[in-house]
Amino acid sequence: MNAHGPSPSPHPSARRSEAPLLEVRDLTVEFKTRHGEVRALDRVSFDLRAGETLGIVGESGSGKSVTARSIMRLLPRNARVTGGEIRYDGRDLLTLSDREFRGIRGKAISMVLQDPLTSLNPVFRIGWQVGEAVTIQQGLRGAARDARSVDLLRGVNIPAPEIRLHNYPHEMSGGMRQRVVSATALAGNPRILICDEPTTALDATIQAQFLNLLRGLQEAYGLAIIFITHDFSVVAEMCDRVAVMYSGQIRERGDVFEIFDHPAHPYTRALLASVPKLGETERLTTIPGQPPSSANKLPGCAFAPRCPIADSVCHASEPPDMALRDDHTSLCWRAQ
Amino acid sequence: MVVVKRLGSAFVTLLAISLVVFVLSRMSGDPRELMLSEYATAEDYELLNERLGLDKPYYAQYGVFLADAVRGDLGESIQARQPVLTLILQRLPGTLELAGSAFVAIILASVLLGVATAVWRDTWVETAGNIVAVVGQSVPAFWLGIVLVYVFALTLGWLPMAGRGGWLYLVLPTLTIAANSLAALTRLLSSAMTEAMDAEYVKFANVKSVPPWRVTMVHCLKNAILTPFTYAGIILGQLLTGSIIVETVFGWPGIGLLALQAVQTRDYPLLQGVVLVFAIIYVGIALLVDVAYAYLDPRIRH
Repeated sequence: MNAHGPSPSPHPSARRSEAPLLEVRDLTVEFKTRHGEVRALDRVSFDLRAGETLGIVGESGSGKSVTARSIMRLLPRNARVTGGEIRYDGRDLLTLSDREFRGIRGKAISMVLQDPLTSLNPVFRIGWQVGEAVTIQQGLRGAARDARSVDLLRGVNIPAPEIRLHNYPHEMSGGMRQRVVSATALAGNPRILICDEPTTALDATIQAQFLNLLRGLQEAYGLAIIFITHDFSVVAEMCDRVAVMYSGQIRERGDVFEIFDHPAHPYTRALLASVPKLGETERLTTIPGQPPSSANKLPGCAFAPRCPIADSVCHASEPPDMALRDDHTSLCWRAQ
Repeated sequence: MVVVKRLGSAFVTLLAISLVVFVLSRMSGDPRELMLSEYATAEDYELLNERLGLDKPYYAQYGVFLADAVRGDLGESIQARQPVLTLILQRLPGTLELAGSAFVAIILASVLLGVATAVWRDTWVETAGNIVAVVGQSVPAFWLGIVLVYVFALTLGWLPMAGRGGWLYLVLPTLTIAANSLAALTRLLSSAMTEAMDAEYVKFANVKSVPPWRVTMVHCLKNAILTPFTYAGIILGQLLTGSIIVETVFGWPGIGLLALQAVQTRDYPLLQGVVLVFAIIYVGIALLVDVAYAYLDPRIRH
């Protein structure tokens, strides 16, 4: 399950350095809906260092996908970024024009979408779709483009890539298609790959294979990965650091071992308790209640209505971002 | 494989249509009444009976009809006293010319309007596009044709009034036909484009940094044209079988006018021939649409 890296072109900054590759500061996104402006992201901040994997975990609707789509400028028409910065290599990406941003997207930052069945265009051959990315990202045409496409497909362990180029998406399995999507996303030798629940639509065995592949690619390309998932067990397997999101805010973030061993936020604790563990016979814990609808915001902590340890302060005013050990922060009045 | 299967079903369809045409023509009364004068004798009737083969049983008559039709012999027009095939072939080029130019105009305009209304949805462009499409569809062809003639031929004198000649003669009838068939196709394409533009593969194309015009005109359009494609085939069928109204207004020597004449004069061999040719045109187009569709949509190729 090793990626025979297609010209891995090591980035000088691929090794862990302290200067973050991507800095997201106070990113705020609002959606225009029939019920007025709804805040989908509320002052989201995090860093991504070169070569590391950052997990973003949360329930559906917590804002994890919106975070990814804001970075990639893939927000729906009714959404817009109303505040904050997304700094890459010292430049604020939010200030770039669409044309300038196309020089970043695919080349510096790329993305694998959730559903491999729909991310490929059904009416074009695989070779055409991968080749298009190769042409746009690297300016290759003709035989050079095809050779590079074959290399990319081989790099994601697709057997007989020369033949696969002539296939249409519907002629491939879900796992194969997700590999094609990954190969396409890597055509521009990006430094950052955002994976938005890349394994959710795949069978369990195929999931494990794909995660293995992703680790191989990370090594071969020196990628920094933002891994978005609702599944804490995948986080444990994949990530160096993790950010837990709830109702548009990052509730807790830090080193993955630190978070697993000393979860400070009651929501993180509840999430961890609801992950099934092998050999345990206890009933799985669930979190009572529903995530708050972002349309009618209450004062105080958004998690308070579901929180087992909430007190009057929690219901009255929003908690501050509490710094705990090292890199570990928690948005909670009662974090220790 | 698809082609062979479709060819088989096209053949069966044509056979069925020929039977319907045959039965209908036999049910419409005694053709001798039309062909002979009111002073004809009983002997004349007997003679014609034999000459037309009406004395034979029906299945034999159908056999003769079919065998003749396959050889291109569609009988002789009662009015013109000329082979039906000759009459049809005289008129076919006129219809082909007008149908071709109208079809090109319809496709170009509906792609333009359909894409524009989808790309700029919720803006004035969508409203304007919808108004153009709906007005075009609601205005009757005879009225639009006459108004166009009045404005551009009679008043301004820019274009000829009627008849068939160079490309200038094509402009007004083409506009009249196109305006009428545009709306439905535009709507179908517009909603298919809107759907395509929200698809995940569009987001992934954006991840690849595909330029926006290419995302719209290549990635989305190739998916979106599948929906209105079959309907475009139906329009082409209508165009190729001629438009009686437009051909009348513009004095255009086409096959629609020929069909009208056949009905008005009860020229049943001519009508039978025209109907058969229309059927062949429709079946041919249906076949073409199926094959082309399979080419465009890889998912239905087997």
